[in-house]
Amino acid sequence: MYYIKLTEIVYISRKRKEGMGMALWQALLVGLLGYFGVNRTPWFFGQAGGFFGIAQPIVACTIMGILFGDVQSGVLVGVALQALYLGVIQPGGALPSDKGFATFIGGSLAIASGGGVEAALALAVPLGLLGVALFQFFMTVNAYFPHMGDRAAAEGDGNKVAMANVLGTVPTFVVYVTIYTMANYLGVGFVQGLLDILPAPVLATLSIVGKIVPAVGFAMLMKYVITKGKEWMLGFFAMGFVLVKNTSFNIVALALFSIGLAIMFVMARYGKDLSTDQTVAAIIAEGGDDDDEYDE
Amino acid sequence: MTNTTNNKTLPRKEVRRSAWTYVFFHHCAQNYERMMGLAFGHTLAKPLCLLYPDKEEYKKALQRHTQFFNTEPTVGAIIPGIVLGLEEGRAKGEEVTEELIVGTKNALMGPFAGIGDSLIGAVYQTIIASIAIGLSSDGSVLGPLFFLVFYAGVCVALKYGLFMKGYDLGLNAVKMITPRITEIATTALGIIGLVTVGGIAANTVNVPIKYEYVSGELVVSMQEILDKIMPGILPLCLTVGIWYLYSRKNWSAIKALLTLIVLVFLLVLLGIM
Repeated sequence: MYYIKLTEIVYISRKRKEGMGMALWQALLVGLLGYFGVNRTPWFFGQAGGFFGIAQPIVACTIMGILFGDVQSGVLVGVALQALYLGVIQPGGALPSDKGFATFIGGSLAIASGGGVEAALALAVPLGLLGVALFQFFMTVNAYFPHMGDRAAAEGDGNKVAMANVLGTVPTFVVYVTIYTMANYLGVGFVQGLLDILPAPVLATLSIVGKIVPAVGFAMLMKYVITKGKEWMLGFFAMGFVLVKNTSFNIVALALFSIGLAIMFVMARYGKDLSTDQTVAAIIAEGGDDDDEYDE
Repeated sequence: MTNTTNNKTLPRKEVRRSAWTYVFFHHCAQNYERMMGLAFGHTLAKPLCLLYPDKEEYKKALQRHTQFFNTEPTVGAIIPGIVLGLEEGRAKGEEVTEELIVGTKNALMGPFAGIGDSLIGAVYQTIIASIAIGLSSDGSVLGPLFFLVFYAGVCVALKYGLFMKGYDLGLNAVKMITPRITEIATTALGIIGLVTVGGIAANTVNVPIKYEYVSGELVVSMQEILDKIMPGILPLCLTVGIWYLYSRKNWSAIKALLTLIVLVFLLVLLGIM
């Protein structure tokens, strides 16, 4: 993933030398806009206005079209990129391709250079993969902040917990604004150069640690649920894990299955009392309430 | 649990403020280890401070709400709402245990992620984007405006609305709770939570092994051997192993994390990963 040669797009960085690139102030504005569109940024109603708003190619490219004084071609590049990503979901950890890099480097250079829709589409795919690499890097490195939050929570300081959360966006700000601005000012070759500086084993380690590190989060969560003397409950965790890994169960199906399992367990353990107990109706009502929540 | 009885109800203003905190900050420190966990703590930090004047109780509340949490943030906005309602009940001295609250949170996040990702991420976004593309195919700025209002705008409204709805749901649920129901619900939610969290772990934790033993024509892939024992055996053992070190051997999470990084780096250098 890290060794894609961006030959088809190098011509844009050449165009920069021919005076076709963008001015530094424009590159800076694109960088800032790109930062607003990162999933983590709180501006503009958080994710909704940023990642789901500004970062969407059709919106972003229109704004950049206004910035470069060519709204029409901005909208058209945006439409093309948006169509490219139509139906591409970006759930939690695993993105197939990063819209941000494609939009704020590929799209912006295409609009600024007058390369139009074709140039934007040629840039989108390789840049999208580079964006995924950077996303994974941040998702791994940002694991620092919850530990800052842990210390604050242990001190009973809620403001510091909030601060740790907000500080989590600072590295994002510095790195994304820098990369987007430099890439737009210097051309795409710059991004490739950045990745070439890092030795391959370091990149590979970062990418693999990113895949393993959720295990630490799950371990911490289980500490909460599996209290001392309840180690047998590990079996339930293993059960969910094995079912998803070895069957076509998805999480919603698994949740419904686990409700059945919980009913069996509860009936086996409390069933005898339940049949004589006055609280039966209340318990059933409570169970029904839970089901309603799943229907939301 | 000893109850620090406190008859204060959260002012509606604080609940609204918490909902807006969620809307703005729910992804700030997103990371692979705890995903939205820290943001969950941020969302509830202020109201929890009002609910638990007792410093020790507040500490515990903060700690249980900075753990791993991940869901689809739009539809899943109902979860911090429900949790806040339950916490208010607990603070008032109702029979709401810590385990019940954590269990509810764990049991709900997976299903809401599944429902939300397909409804919001796949279906709704695709519909709105298709219409926007249609509106703008001639270069008109109507498309982006339509997209902003009907996608970003609707998501903000949903997040805020579902958070508030969740809070009321949580408060109402508290009213029905008796010690017996608490015990049974805690057990049931613990099971549902662990099974679904196991499923989420199966989807997220990945231990790629690329080592292959080559001898002439013979190529034996280590991953294939492991898969023959059981697909996912390595990530499962690793997660349980870290849980054991962390919760029974008093390893800190940082120690586990650094050990992992060093280990992976060595394995990469050896060509095993």
